[in-house]
Amino acid sequence: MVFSSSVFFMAFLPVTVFIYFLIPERFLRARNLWLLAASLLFYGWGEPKYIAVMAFSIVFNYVFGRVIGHLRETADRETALPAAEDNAKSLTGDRAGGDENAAGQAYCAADIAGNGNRKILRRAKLAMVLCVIGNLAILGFFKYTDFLIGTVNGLLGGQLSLLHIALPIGISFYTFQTMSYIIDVYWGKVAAQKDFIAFAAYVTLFPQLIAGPIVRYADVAVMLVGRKTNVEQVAEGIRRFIIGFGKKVLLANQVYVIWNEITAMDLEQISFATAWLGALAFTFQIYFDFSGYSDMAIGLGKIFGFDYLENFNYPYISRSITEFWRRWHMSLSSWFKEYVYVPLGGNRKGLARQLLNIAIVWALTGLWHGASWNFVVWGMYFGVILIIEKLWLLRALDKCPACVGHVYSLILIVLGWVIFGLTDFSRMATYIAHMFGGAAVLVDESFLYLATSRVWLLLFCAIGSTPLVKRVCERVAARLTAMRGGEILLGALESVVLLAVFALSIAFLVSGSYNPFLYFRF
Amino acid sequence: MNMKKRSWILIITSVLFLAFLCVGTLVTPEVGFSENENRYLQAAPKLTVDHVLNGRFETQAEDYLNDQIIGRSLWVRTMAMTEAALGVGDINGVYLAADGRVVKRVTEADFDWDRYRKNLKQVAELAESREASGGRLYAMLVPTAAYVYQQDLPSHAMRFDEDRAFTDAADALGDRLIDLRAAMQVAVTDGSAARESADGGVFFRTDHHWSGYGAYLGYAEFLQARAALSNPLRADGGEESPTASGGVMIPAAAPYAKLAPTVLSDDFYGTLYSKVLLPTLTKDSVETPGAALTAKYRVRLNGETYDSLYFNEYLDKKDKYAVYFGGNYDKVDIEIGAATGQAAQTASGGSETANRADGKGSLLILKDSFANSFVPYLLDDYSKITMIDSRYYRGSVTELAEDYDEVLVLYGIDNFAGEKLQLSKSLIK
Repeated sequence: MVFSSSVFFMAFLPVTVFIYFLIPERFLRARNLWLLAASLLFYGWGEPKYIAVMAFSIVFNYVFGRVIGHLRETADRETALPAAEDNAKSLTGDRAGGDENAAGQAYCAADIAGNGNRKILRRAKLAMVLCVIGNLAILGFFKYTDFLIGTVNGLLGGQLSLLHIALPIGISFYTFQTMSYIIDVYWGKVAAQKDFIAFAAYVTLFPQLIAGPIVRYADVAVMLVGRKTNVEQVAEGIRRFIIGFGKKVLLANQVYVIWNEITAMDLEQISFATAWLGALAFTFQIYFDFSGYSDMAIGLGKIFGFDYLENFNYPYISRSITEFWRRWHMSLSSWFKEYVYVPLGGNRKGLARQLLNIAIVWALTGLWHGASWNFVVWGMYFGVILIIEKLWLLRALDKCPACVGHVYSLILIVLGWVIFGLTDFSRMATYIAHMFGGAAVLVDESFLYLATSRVWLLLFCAIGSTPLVKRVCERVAARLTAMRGGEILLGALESVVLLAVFALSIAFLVSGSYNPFLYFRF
Repeated sequence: MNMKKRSWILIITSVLFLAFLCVGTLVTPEVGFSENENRYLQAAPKLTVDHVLNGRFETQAEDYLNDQIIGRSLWVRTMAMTEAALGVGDINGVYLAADGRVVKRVTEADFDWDRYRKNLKQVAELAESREASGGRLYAMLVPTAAYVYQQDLPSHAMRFDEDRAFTDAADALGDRLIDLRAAMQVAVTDGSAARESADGGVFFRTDHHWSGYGAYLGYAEFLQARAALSNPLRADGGEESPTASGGVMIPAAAPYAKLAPTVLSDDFYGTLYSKVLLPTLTKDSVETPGAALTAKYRVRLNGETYDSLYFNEYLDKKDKYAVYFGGNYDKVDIEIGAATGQAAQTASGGSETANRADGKGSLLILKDSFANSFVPYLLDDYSKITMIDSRYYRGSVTELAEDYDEVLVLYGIDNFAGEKLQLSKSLIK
């Protein structure tokens, strides 16, 4: 099921929320159980067979989590006081990891303590590695088998037939979530979750299940077993959900029309302006689609009492690609940083090793986005840019006026999305060539029509990519709350605006299903 | 800062809104057939284990809620009005043209050139085989409304290269091609369409078909083409000679007003209106030549015989264009003239040739729905007319054509490139 479907907002969501709040807050386990049941229904909707993959993943990781947690606890108990202290520090320590990894320290401290400990920890490590391999094997099997076969066929001229394995929805997201849990338990950052329902609810929680953000277990561990309903949090959840819904339906889906129309044209014939318009449209589409989805997920999480970390922070206002990746899909970048880049040595093993680490991380980031070579190229493209920025360019950009950084970043970002959006390399090459001087015509009728007829949409998208709307809303809210009775006025105003956005989104959504037949029925 | 009141207001209004949607959809009666969309809406899905497991229940549930949501056309209308207000020139594949006209949008990417040229070739082959045995073939490709009304489209509107399509057609078919571009454009620009017909245009403002006057222009050009091919000596020296159509001189079409155009309905909201449901659009008039309303003929379709091609019950329904024949069928036979009763009987025998008692010939029309409002003009020119819709006809058109003096291929030019045409299938058989 997806958020932008009628079944979701007219049936699933009302029923799920209604029953959730019928269950008294003191029965949090019952609420978790209800969320688990609802999430499984959400997940299996349309393709029930994948519930089996999901169920296996839950049990597999739950068991390994318990085993690793048990070994960890045993080791900690036998460890001398200093290690335990370190361990405690790691629990409160820097969540974002970083190079001074507290968990790493705890691990080292524990490592020194006694031979028996070392043996137990080695067993914990083995269990962790096995579990991570298991998770990657599931992900690899469903997501990359055909990609691998296709690549082997291409390289060796083989005729192996593709398996056509359908990709279970969200598998890339929940696999990364469970791996974060397993590794954190191994590092001693969090205790293993003994409550099976709470753990299963964490893995399946429908808000972030199919399109992120990637919620790390450590970030919600406390909320899973001890959250309280808070009216302001629920209201904020509704706010975020409607904003996300509007971004997805009113902006992303509509601007997609332009990209779709342009890529359906004969790419050899498109003009310079049309090529850029299409690329820009896709740039807007992917941002509003993805960040809209994250907004909806974060909003739904809040309604049920979960605070997720933000996933997007106005990425298109960046002044460098380095900054862009600190603002785009933040839960994925921080995941790769913490679980791949830092363990590989990060920047602590010399420049050459650091550059290699960056290259590895970005190849994997690309591959994570899809089982196709263009995604790898896309990842490497950013890897190379980030390395160049790290070595020279950032310092130069700092000295330039802000607009240089903005233009530089936007051009590279838009180009990146063309690589991302066109899986066929020859089409991609044609398209990019037309963006950079290869077009015979500068401006054509198609451009003039598409740009003028949807000029407002493009303008809304441009404004929506900046924090402008948010700032205006905050200022209005501050002004109103300062007035007597202003809070009620603000509430009314906000309800009218948000529900208008929601209603308009529904209008566009329903219209999408509205398909009159031109021909007489037969 | 305490924001409890603000929060409660938002929560309560949101819950009420969602509750209104859900309860409203539940209690409003289910709609079966949607006139606007010309299709049956999804009924409440059946909950069975099988349907859940194979995903059918889930798909139907989504369709059901979309189709039966409370105030469905209001939602669609809201969308269209928002888009129109923002200056979007096309909604749901339809251009919003000037003067409340809506026009089907066919872009270069929509138009299948390969299929178009293949279909042209098929028709050219059929023409050659007909001509080899003394028959005649004409092909009339009706230009799109977007072509005829191009000056009324949103600026820079995207269209497929229709002039090139006509050049291709002329290359493939030579003077068998009846090209209406000039006639239609002149009728629009010099105001004759507006003067002569109740509807005022050559296409309906809200439907993808040509209007009664548009069909008349087609008829006039058709007669001209017949005359050019059948009276070859007339151009040279004005002498008559025996021709394929029984040695009769083919006259030019009478002026439109002489045909006593009669308004069947002035309350027609067509298929393109249904696509956008914009309240700014105004209704059209359905017009037909008066002579056809009183002519004596027999129509056979779907195994039934009727004495009129007008199915007046459709005038009370949404799709009033279906008043002509009640829609499209694989094969429609029309027997005209005194010997109707007998001819109908022999027709069912299947072995008769054209009734030439009155010197009129027989015509086979290979067509889409454009022909339905065109045929009424022909009732005085033929003794037998058969219409074949290749989308539904399962027999061999090539064999069937042998029984007729003339063949007319009549399609909207964009339909002629359409995937449903299956021209090759019915011609090769």
